[in-house]
Amino acid sequence: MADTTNLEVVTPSAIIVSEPVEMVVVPGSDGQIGALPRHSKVISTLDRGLVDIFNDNKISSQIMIDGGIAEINETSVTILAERAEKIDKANKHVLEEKLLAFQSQENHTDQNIADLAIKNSTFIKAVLDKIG
Amino acid sequence: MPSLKDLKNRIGSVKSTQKITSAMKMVAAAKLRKAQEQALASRPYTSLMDSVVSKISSKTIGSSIDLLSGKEEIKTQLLVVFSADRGLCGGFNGSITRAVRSEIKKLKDDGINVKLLMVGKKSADALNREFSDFFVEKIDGNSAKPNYTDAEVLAKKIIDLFENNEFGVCRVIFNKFVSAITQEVTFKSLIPVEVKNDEIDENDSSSLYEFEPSEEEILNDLLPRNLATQLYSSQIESTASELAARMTAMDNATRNAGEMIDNLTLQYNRTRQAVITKELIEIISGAEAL
Repeated sequence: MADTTNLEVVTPSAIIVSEPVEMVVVPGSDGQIGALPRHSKVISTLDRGLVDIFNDNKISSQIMIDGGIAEINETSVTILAERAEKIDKANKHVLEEKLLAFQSQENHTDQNIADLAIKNSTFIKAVLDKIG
Repeated sequence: MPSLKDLKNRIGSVKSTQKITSAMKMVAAAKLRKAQEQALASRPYTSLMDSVVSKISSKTIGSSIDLLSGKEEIKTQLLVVFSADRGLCGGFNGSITRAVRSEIKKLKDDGINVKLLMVGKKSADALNREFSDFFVEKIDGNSAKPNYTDAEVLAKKIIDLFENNEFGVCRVIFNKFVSAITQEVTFKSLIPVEVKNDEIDENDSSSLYEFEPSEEEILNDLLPRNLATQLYSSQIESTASELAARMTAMDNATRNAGEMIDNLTLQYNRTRQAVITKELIEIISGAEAL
């Protein structure tokens, strides 16, 4: 077994992933960051995009995140994101239902709610695009 | 002396009350389990967020980020009050309301203005007559099913108010869930951010972190998220406490109803026997009179 680093992807409602991985590439806001074991300590903000998890020298799974923050150190990579969705485990129907719910709120009279609904639905659309 | 029919009616009505309270108790217990699960699920995010914020803010002490340090020059404090939308949960709403009232008094004595953001209907109703001038906004419907989106909306509102210099310091007041029978009224500072310093001193390694982009930019991005996270966890705690309080209150009510039924049944039986005895006496004395 090759060297691994502990990847954790956490959202306010659940831990999405918590497992040792060989490498992970995160969408940092100053460009992608590839984190191998013994990576130097970095805290970085993240953009919306895919987190690529590498095992056996190839991408074993991908997670879509909607921005957030990553804390990388020698032994672990921790990603805090408000929204995250596993691409290979995502359920298309559930997501489509959620999308409809958020889209119906996009013209809400309260600007804050409307903005958030747009943010949510753009994220789900991005996930759906990836699933194809 | 109530008649037999009156007693029967009363027993009937107490019995149906008992049925309702015991059903409410069971509903609250089931919901409480869910709320506890949700609180458990949100804990990793909250604690990681706390640790990241502490790590960064320790490096940026003395910086000019207002969300981190608050605006001391503005002598107004915003209190975000979490209460329930519904009653029948014992001292839950009462204790929050009392705490808010005494806190307002204390701040007034110190010459600080107060603004209130009420989440949950009950406290808002209770404080409406005295302090409606202080209300910034009343929000309800959040406590039944706490979700992160509601917290984000709330955080956005608070930040907007802050940027318009409506207040300089912001605190939340909520019932902290200690156990199913104890809830604690808790104050927590949102702006300025509460930083756990003890954690940092222990491992000096935090100073070795590199920040991408700069610390300030990360904080500008992170602090609004942190605010939403704090509000979310307060809401979850408050909801769990509400359900726990309701469960305990309804359990007591069910037990009291049981006692009341016992007493009333005893009284009913006594009255019934008295009536029989009276009838017998009437018949016997009637027979003797002949």
